[in-house]
Amino acid sequence: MATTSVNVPVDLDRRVLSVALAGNPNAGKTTLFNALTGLRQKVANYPGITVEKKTGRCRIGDGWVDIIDLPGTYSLVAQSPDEAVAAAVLRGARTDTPLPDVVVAVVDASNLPRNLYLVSQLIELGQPLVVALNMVDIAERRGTPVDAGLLARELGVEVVPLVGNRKRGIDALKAAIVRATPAPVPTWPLSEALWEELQHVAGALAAAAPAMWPRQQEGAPEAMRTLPQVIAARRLLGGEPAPDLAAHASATGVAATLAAARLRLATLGIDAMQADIEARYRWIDGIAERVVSRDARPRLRATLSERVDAVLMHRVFGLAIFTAVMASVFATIFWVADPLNGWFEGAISWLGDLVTGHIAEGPLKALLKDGVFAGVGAVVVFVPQIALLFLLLAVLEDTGYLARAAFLMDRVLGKVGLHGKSFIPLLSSFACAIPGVMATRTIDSRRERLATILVAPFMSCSARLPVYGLLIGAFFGGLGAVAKGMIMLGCYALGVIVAAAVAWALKLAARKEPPPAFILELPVYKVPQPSLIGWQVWTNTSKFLTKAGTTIFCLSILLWALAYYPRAPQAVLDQAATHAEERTRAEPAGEALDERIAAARERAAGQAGLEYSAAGRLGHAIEPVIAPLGFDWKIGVGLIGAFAAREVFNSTLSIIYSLGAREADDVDDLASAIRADTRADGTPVWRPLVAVSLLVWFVLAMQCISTTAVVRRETGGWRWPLIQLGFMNALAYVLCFAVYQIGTRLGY
Amino acid sequence: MSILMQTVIVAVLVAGAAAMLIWRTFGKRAKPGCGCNGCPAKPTARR
Repeated sequence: MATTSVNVPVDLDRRVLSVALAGNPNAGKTTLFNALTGLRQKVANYPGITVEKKTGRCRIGDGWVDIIDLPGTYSLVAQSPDEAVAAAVLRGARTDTPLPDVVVAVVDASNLPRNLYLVSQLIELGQPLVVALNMVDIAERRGTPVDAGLLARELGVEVVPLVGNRKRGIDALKAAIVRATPAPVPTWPLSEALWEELQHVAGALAAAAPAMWPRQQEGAPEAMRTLPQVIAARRLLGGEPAPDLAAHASATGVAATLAAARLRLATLGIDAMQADIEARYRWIDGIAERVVSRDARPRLRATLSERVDAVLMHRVFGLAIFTAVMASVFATIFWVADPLNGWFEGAISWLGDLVTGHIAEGPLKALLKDGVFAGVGAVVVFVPQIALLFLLLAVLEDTGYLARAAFLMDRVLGKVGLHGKSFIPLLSSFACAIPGVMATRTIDSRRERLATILVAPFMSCSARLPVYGLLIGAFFGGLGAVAKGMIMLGCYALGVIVAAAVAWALKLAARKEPPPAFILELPVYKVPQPSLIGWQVWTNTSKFLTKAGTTIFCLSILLWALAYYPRAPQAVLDQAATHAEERTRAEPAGEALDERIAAARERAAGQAGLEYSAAGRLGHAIEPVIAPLGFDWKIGVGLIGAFAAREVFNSTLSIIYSLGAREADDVDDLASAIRADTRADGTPVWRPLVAVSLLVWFVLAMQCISTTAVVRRETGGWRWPLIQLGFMNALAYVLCFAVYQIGTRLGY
Repeated sequence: MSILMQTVIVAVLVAGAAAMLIWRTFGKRAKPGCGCNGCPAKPTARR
């Protein structure tokens, strides 16, 4: 096939080169990015993880190189917002990113033909190109090894075989980046009529704005001087939405030529875009035929993968297995992490005593003991649960099982108006709604993207885990690990069910559109990489600890100040103590009356001081609104604190119960303290029903300011985040009301 | 340590915590994000 190249060597004198990693989703771009830069961006064994470009720097030879990791895309004709990011960067249409000096096409060797389609478009960019032939080990195991040398000769650029996750071939890739040259552009097998029209449009483009094509014309062979214009003409004739060509297309003469060419092609029954795609695939099929060896006997591993899929992706058993897997995950969390929690509680308490032991009674000691150690400690004790949850999810993710779950869920999601592509954003939201909302950029349809954004915060994020852990441990602690795990699974499931119901309601409210096809490549099953899993666990746990050490630390200090000041006058404390003494004396006489009176006086004075504080007044002010849900003023203060960060609910309760407690009370264990809390009439404040109502609140309420900010950014205004904030909290209130009132009437 | 001294230290700590939260929320470098290294809300990866 005749090919022509326009040679533009890499400018090695520039201090920092920029190199873009482009490729299909799940081709291993981010793995390669991490291997090149030494950074640790999130990678996973399913497509759609990177939805925004990421930049990192690495050293190649004597110079520095900026590596840009782009979202995966099958084509430069962008369909979804994440693909648009990739296309814009590669065409130099982003103001915040210079046109890359070198493009590295990351190609999955085990799926060569499909990956070469994007390469065929990258060639036309005219930038120096290197093909990173990734996952050659999997291609070999599948019995379809690729001859990299032959592929390099076919494409006219360097092809570097790689195993990105084992960092094999990275040095060769670095060397190839420095030597990179543009690939010769093949002469695509297009029909004569189409070629003729392309030349017309290209001529019009060249005439309209000759200054716009300077670089490609320098040194180009005579026959191909108009090559960039021909490529631009193909894009315009094919009807590609091309913002970078808008100025050219509207230039005098071009628009008329374009319209006339389209009319003539339509008369001949030629669809320019279809003809273009077919021509590329004819070229790709020819190359694949020559460079991919076909092993007559595929190895056992591929067959094994299919056998496993037959069970795990079964229409009925698949969903049952998925439910069982998730139930096992939560049961394991309680079974393994519960004993570790006690150890953490003991350690924090010991440290608190050590630090505050030598400080005289006063505000500083109270701040450290009841504010910092009680507040931050109430969150930090859940580190084992967080670490274990992310460990188990990382294992499921890296094996490739979670990508299968997306297929299983497509049928279910489709019925409620969500797309199969919604699964990955919803799955990401179980860690944090922010990456989940960002991941909706992979969804082409705006309506389905918006629906996914609106329901993503219903997925229980890791910030809810400490609250679930506290409430389930305090009120259902007597049950076994399996039962506690099932309650926690119930919380997660409630979020999913409500999200599905809301999505279904949105589907009914919105205009009906035909659902777009869901295409998701199933990654291969593989043995999880311990280093990758260890890193994910560490990243998420350290994020949790960092938040505890910064935001929650600061919030604990402020909440403590609100619960400590203003100090109640002595007369108020004495009056409360006297009332408590009178109530105790009125009780039936028992043993150790004096001790009981002393305890009651001390506790009542503590409570009176707390109620006199700013937090106490605030809590009492909102109590009438939350009382129908079963919540008292202390829980109310906790709910207000939780709007800063959900985990702060634990911190707030811990501070309030520490400040209101007697010296002799055991407040190291927050669960015991809330179980023992009583109202003035002696009835318990907390019951299992109150805990259930609170769990429902935390599953459904929108309390995360950061998520609201990201939803505003992703939807382009305040309308949708405010609607989301309103309906989620209203729904949470109504359901908590129903749970508590119905439960109370049933005698719970 | 006297109560007065403790009160002064507490006032400084509370003011510092408030300033830190305001800075983290509205400061020049504050960006929406979940705080993790791979958060897609942050455009630039950092070592």
